[in-house]
Amino acid sequence: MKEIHFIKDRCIRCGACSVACAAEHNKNHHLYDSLINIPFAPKQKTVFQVEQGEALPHPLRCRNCEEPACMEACISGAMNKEHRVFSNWKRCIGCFMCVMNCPYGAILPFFGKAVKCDQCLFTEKPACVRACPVNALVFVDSHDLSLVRKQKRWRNRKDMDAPLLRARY
Amino acid sequence: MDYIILGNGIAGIQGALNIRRYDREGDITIITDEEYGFYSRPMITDIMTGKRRPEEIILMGEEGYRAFGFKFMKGLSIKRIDLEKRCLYSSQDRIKFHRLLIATGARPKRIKKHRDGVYYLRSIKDALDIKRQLKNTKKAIVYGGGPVGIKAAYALLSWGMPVSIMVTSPQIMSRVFDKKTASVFQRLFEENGAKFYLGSSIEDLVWQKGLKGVVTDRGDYIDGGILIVGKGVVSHTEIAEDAGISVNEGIIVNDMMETSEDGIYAAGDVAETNTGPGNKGRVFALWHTGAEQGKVAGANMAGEKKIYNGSVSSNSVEYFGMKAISMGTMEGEGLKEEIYEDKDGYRRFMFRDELLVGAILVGNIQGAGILLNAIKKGTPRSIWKRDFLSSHWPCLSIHPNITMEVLF
Ligand SMILES: Cc1cc2nc3c(=O)[nH]c(=O)nc-3n(C[C@H](O)[C@H](O)[C@H](O)COP(=O)(O)OP(=O)(O)OC[C@H]3O[C@@H](n4cnc5c(N)ncnc54)[C@H](O)[C@@H]3O)c2cc1C
Ligand code: SF4
Ligand code: SF4
Repeated sequence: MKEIHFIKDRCIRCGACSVACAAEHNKNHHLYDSLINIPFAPKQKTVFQVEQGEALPHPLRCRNCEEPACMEACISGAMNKEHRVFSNWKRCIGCFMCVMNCPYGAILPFFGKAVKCDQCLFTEKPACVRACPVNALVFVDSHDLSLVRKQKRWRNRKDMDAPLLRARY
Repeated sequence: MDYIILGNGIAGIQGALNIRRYDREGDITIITDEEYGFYSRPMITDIMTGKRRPEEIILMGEEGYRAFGFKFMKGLSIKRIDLEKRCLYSSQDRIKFHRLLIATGARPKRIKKHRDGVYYLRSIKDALDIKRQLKNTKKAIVYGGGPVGIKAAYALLSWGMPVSIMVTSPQIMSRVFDKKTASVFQRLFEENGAKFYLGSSIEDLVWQKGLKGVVTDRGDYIDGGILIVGKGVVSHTEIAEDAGISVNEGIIVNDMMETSEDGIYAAGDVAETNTGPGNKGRVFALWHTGAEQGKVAGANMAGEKKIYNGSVSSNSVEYFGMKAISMGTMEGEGLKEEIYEDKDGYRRFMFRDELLVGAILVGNIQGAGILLNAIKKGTPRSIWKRDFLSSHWPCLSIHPNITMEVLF
């Protein structure tokens, strides 16, 4: 399954990913609505969800674990897995057992609900990945990425042949 | 293969699900003496106040059991286990098994002076009993300042009932949080209509055609028509003990969650583990540890080899919008503490030599899971940056393939 991966060495801290996420999770997918509430944090690889003018930042790196610790710990049955792990806000009671148990810190407690990345469910590529100008965020199979990693080619921004390296400058 | 799961709590259900994961054919029977499907025990405080109906906290209904091919026997109390014949006995039935998971949980500790009007909180039935009593009560008393007592008090307060909370120790949630955190919560509760009687225990119940109040050993009189007791729990070990299975405080299990007897496993509030640092003879009475243990027990029952690495006791609470998480050991010899405090939170860490052993996070609880995992795995101090420990930490991403060093 495809996952969002973050290649730290490439990141130039521009924050485009956060902005794109904010726009994506906005009712009319427009940045303007979300600008009011984007808490910019340098190099914080988070995505933001905006609804009714309230910003709900959450980090994107959920691993969609095979045996999700968050789901096992959830006392209300809100955290669920169907291909991807998601929290059903109708059921979530905000006990944050999931926050306490996710070994990757991928769930954020906001407004009394567990908030996590949904990988932009209905799009081909998550918004943050589309927005990143240097391909520091990639949406690939973990297996493919580990191959590239092994060859260390991703370190070189100019290596145009590396499958993940179509950086635009 | 006939598997029997005795107990329909989180440990039992996780056990059954994990047996099913590895064994698609075996017959799995889940037995409970309660009348409901698998429900969320921590959420029964909402039943008590009528905020939710019992159906709403059911996590697995009848069709769920059917979907996984579990046979579900409710309202059936098991009286005896026969190890020789490998049978369970209820008052009428006899049920055969090959492998058995005992996940009978725990029951509340009782107080000596029991009268009508004294209630314990453990099951939906208890909660409904309390609900009935609350109808003709104006004030409630909660005895016990542990997580369950405080949770019950919180439910009552947010429902609009004034509550007096009696706590034996000089602070609330003394096993879980430090003084500072406890006082933050205490203030919040007081602002919302709770009255605390710290360092008090029950001297006598005032009873006159129903409970009228309680006299404490300090001589205070507390007015209230219902007394809810949350003084901790004791494991349901009797039937295992009678059958000759080794029992201490809980049923003693090894790191595969197997008891002293072959093919008999235990998990959840009833199991006593010796795995993991500092976990000698440890009975965890927590939801997520029950899930972890049940998972390991289930896999091993189905013939897999899965090792239980020990749990870290941890609690997550949110009262009146204030979030707090505590994990691991906060007291003991040779511990060094580090405190970080800023406008959106307070974080206190305990280190033994170079290892993180405990943490309390108040306010900002982001990334608590990473810390819990670090305590479990024993990650050395050197990889933690200051930013990471204080609430502003720059990067939440750690990929299993990328070693942590790459990111920090
Ligand atoms: C009010 C409340 C709030 C809580 N809040 C939290 C929280 O916030 N976080 C947390 O981590 N934990 C919390 N807990 C603790 C948590 O609910 C328990 O740790 C967890 O439910 C234990 O699960 P278990 O499967 O081990 O046992 P249980 O859930 O107790 O299940 C035991 C099952 O065995 C059955 N059984 C027992 N004996 C027999 C018998 N002889 N025959 C047939 N069936 C039998 C019982 O009917 C029951 O179905 C809370 C508990 C309560 C009561
Ligand atoms: S939130 Fe955390 S525990 Fe849950 S699936 Fe994602 S990475 Fe795994
Ligand atoms: S915060 Fe919500 S999703 Fe997380 S464990 Fe609690 S109920 Fe489940």
